[in-house]
Amino acid sequence: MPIRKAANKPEGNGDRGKQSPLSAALEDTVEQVRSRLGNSPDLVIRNYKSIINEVPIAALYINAITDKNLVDAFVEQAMAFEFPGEGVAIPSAPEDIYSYMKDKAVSTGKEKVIEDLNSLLEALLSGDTVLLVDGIAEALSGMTSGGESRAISEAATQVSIRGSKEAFTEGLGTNIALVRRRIKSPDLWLETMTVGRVTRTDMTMMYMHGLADEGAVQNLRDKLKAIDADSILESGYIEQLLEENRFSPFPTLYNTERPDSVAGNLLEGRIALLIDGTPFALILPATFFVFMHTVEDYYQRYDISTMIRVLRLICLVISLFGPAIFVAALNFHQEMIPTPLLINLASQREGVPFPTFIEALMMEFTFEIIREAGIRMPSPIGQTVSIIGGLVLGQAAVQAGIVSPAMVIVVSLTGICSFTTPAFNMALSIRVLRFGIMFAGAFMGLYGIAIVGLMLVAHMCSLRSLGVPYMSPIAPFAPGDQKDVLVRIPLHFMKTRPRLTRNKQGKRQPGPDAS
Amino acid sequence: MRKEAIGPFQLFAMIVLFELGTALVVPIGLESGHAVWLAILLALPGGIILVLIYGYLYKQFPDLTISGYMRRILGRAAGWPLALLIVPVFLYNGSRNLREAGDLLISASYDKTPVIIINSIMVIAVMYILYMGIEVFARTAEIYFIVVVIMGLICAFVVIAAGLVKLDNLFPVLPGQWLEALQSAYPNILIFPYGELVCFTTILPHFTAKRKVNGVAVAALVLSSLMLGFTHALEMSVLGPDIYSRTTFPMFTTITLVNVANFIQRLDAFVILTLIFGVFFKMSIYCYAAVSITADLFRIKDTHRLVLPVGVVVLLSSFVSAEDYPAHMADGIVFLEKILPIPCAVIPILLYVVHRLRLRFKLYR
Amino acid sequence: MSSRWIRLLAALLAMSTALTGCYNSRELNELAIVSGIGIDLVPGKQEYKVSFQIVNPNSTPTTVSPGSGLPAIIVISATDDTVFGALRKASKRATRQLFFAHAQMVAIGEPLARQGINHVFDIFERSHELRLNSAVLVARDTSAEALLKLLSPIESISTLGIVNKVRNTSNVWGENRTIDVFEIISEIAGVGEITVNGLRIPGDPEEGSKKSSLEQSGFKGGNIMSGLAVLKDGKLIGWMDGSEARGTQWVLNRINETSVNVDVPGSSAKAAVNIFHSRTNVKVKLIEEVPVFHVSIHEEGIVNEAGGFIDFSIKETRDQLEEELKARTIEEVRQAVERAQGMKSDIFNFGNELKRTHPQDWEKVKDRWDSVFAKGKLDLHVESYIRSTGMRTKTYTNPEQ
Repeated sequence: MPIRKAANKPEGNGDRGKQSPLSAALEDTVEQVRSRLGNSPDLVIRNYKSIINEVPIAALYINAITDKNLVDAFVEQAMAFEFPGEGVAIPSAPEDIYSYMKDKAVSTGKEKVIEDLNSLLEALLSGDTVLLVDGIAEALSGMTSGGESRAISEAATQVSIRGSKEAFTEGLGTNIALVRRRIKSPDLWLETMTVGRVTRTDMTMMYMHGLADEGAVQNLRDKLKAIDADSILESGYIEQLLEENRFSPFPTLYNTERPDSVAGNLLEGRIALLIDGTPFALILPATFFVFMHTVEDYYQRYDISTMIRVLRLICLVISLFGPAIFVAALNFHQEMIPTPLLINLASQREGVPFPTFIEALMMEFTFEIIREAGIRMPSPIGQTVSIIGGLVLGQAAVQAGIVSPAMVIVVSLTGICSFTTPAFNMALSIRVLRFGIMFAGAFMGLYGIAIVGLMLVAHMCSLRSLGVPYMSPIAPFAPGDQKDVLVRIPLHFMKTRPRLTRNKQGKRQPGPDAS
Repeated sequence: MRKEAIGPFQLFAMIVLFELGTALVVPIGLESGHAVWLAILLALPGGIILVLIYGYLYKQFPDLTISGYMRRILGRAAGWPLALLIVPVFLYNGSRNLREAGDLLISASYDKTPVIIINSIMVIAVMYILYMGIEVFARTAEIYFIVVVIMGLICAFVVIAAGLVKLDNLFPVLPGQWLEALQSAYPNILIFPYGELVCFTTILPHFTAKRKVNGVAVAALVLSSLMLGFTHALEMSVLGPDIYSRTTFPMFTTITLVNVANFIQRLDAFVILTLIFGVFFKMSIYCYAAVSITADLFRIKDTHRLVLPVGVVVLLSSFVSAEDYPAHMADGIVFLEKILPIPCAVIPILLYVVHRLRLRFKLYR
Repeated sequence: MSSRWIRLLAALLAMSTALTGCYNSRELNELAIVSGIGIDLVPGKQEYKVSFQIVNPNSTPTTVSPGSGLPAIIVISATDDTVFGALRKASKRATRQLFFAHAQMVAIGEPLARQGINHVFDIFERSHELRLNSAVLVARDTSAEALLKLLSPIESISTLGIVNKVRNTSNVWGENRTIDVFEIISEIAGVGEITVNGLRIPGDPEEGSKKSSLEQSGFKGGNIMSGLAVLKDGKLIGWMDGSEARGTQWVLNRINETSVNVDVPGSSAKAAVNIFHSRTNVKVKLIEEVPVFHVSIHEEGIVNEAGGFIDFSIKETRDQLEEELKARTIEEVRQAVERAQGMKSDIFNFGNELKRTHPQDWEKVKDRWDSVFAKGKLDLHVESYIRSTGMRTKTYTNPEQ
């Protein structure tokens, strides 16, 4: 990982010339920029000269990441000093030209004055256009970033039957707009910062002022500032750097590509992080049950949502313990299986040459391979892979007598159950943990499973996400928050926000007495 | 480091789990015949009085564990050694629980597995959770409270649904049997399981809602007493007094009889799991109590360092203490009658009386 | 600080799991599932001959294998001084480890039952593998081994069939009831005596254990429920058949449903009354050293068949029929009680009832309860109701015919 502590000696391009001020000579500056960018062909330098005095002026931008129209507009407006209007003297000295530009060149509303080479490069590389006037040791930059980006499309990983079809894209501005459009409140506060020494990635922290706990916001702000990595290519980097317990298999930050999910979480007092270059926003604090919920739970009727939530939790338990319990029952606790079923299973296992545990391990392993192959392949081939893998391989293995049909049923049931967990990263953790629990079941039967399960629950209880206990609101138990954990009560009765995000405005709807 | 905090529901869940612990699975109050359920309920008032004494002492010294206020009340010279004597009692009781769990597991389904492995796995889990701290422990207890209650309900439901209950085994309770029940209630059932709650005096300093302590403790005690009484009545009604008194684990025998629709049968696993969870929490609390008293007496800041020695001691004494299970049970009777009442009842009552006297005569500086 | 501990713990855990190495792990195809156990007496010796009916998984048809066509059960046996010894000795014959947790049934040979079964069941209580709710039967006039060897046509595993048969016939006919090991143990430990279901082989046992016996629609093999064995002090002293057996179940409040043929008033025909609800209350009192058994039975029935003309729309007819039903019930119960008194064995648990409700009285008579019981008086009250006459009131025949 290219992450280093701040105390270490700086190295690489990012830090060289940090303190080097801009040269007053235009030629020098342009040359410096050129050489620092390695004579990159996508660096465009437009040279102008003022009519009076012929003061050299240059506009610099990088071709691919700027919007041509914006660049033209910015330069045009900056060059308007030639036509200051009636009764005003046309500036002629470089200082006058520059100050005119600085004061009047209002085109994008995001002008900055740049005094050193490094900031100049950074501005260029984030898509700004930089204006240089010969004889002035400062530069003026305007935001002109643009270029090609993906259009807003349907969410690919968090599909819902009902609800908004919009998903985040890679552009930070677009993503902010998507959230803003959903919460038209002045209390939606944003803070932007740049992370990554090399990548200089823009990141926006979003929260509802007055709802989010200020301590938590400050805490997160400090943590983000403390991040010292040279590259942030995806929100996953931030997620891993922010995690409090680095060795836990459980995710403590929720990621989503749905703006409505972000909006909903913001309104419950959580904080969102949008990172440039990825459609996945991070939400924290994220407790275990956040990963088990989807936005659609709130769009569908409460009774259906409740049933589905319970179903998901059962599926989670099956996908975590299913194969382990099967192996334990078959190897240790044969008396637990009803007699006709046991005889059936015994006749299925006749001729299977492997111990149950190896058989289970083999099948689980095969299943994971099929799944991984299916994900990495282009989607039409991916489907073929899963069909060949799942149907043909399974059927052939059974017919060859290598695997018992019951094992295929258990393994595929487990696999299907693990797809019901809405959050993909939680499902991944469960997949990994399943193998550990299978080992425990194969070595010590139910006792092993129970003890490992106990330790797992203890571990989950020890986690915190931004100060909030991971298993809340079950442990610590918050009776008021049970309305939205396993059951989802009708929206009409959901009058308060979750307590454990420590938000200040508890009420969502006016109570009957208040209205 | 931030002080660890425990809320009312967490305390409630911990007390219930602690009370159910082994008492749910092993026969209690052996002498009371078929009125054992009555004995459990009869012992409840005494249990409540004991708990109120613990609660009173806690309210007087909200930041101190039992060893702390023992030194305050009795003076350092008398309090310190007396508190030190409590530690081995707790450790031994913890190891007894471990022994019982190990023995059920071995006689129920792990007959070929050495007891040392079964017990050390349990001890490892206990040590793990003690490293995590009492707060994490309390949260885990909350989750398992729900789990154990659900499992208990399932067990009770299938036993009743299987038509095994014969109320003839419970009634009538004749006058002589009332007396018998009363005799086994006091002091045996009063001490085990109610009096064992003395362990919580080491946990209470972390309790956040000082005012609610009595309410929470009494409510938990009543609930667990009702659950215990109901379970043992159920076992008695299914097995009858004869088999109930001969079986080592009545609950286990009860559940093996279940056969609903020829499909739901042999739910032994539920009983084993209930016992594992119960013993786990009970043992952890005993170990925690031993750790925190030791840490308090020897002024050890980092309690984590004590967890490993305590775990090892409990593990070793679990199979060194008695040759076989009948000997273990015989030891248990002596222990229950002679030793356990001292920390559970004698010391707290002594502390209460001395404290009141010193307050009355203004003997505190 | 804590990460070091966590690492240590992880190492410990890893080590301990490696140590455990599946001590109790047994693969299904290393086990021979025992579906039934038979215990016989070796003639002339004080040894048990224990037979095991083993399920042959290869011949159980599934999608994987169509079944080998061999019988689904195999019976092996071994003799030893103790049941457990025989259990282990059987390993000399079986190719796999015997697995007893699914034994559905324990059959006792009649000679052994006559000699006494009190000590046979200890192993069932002590072992965690043998189950306490296996059904217990006495092989009447035959050996338990022969019973286990019988093939049955519908249930490929005959003991499962026998258990179903016991349950079924107890539900609809009422002469038997499911009696399991647990009940036997509590009865032996308690005061009264036991009745155990009897099972008889009507045909030739040798023939019934051949596969060819299955290949005919008029199945001649198999076994048939046959009365109740009365065990006194664990020894078989007699059989109760037919109405005596049913009378016993009546007193014991074990009748779920049964069918009673009653005389149609004023004609020689019979009507079949299906008792669908029956409840018995028993109270025992000791009056001057003589016990009085207050038995009150409440039964409700439906007329399911009338062999002659009856007009049920007339209330008197129904009343008369109820009276007849009552008389039949009283008759059966009386028979049963008299028979039991004749054998001086309290199979109705009257002793337990007395002990439970009047412990002081019990103390006076407990040493000679058998003879006291034999002198006891039966105070029988039966309430019979006919709740329905089915889909018709009158019979389709005319009274003149």
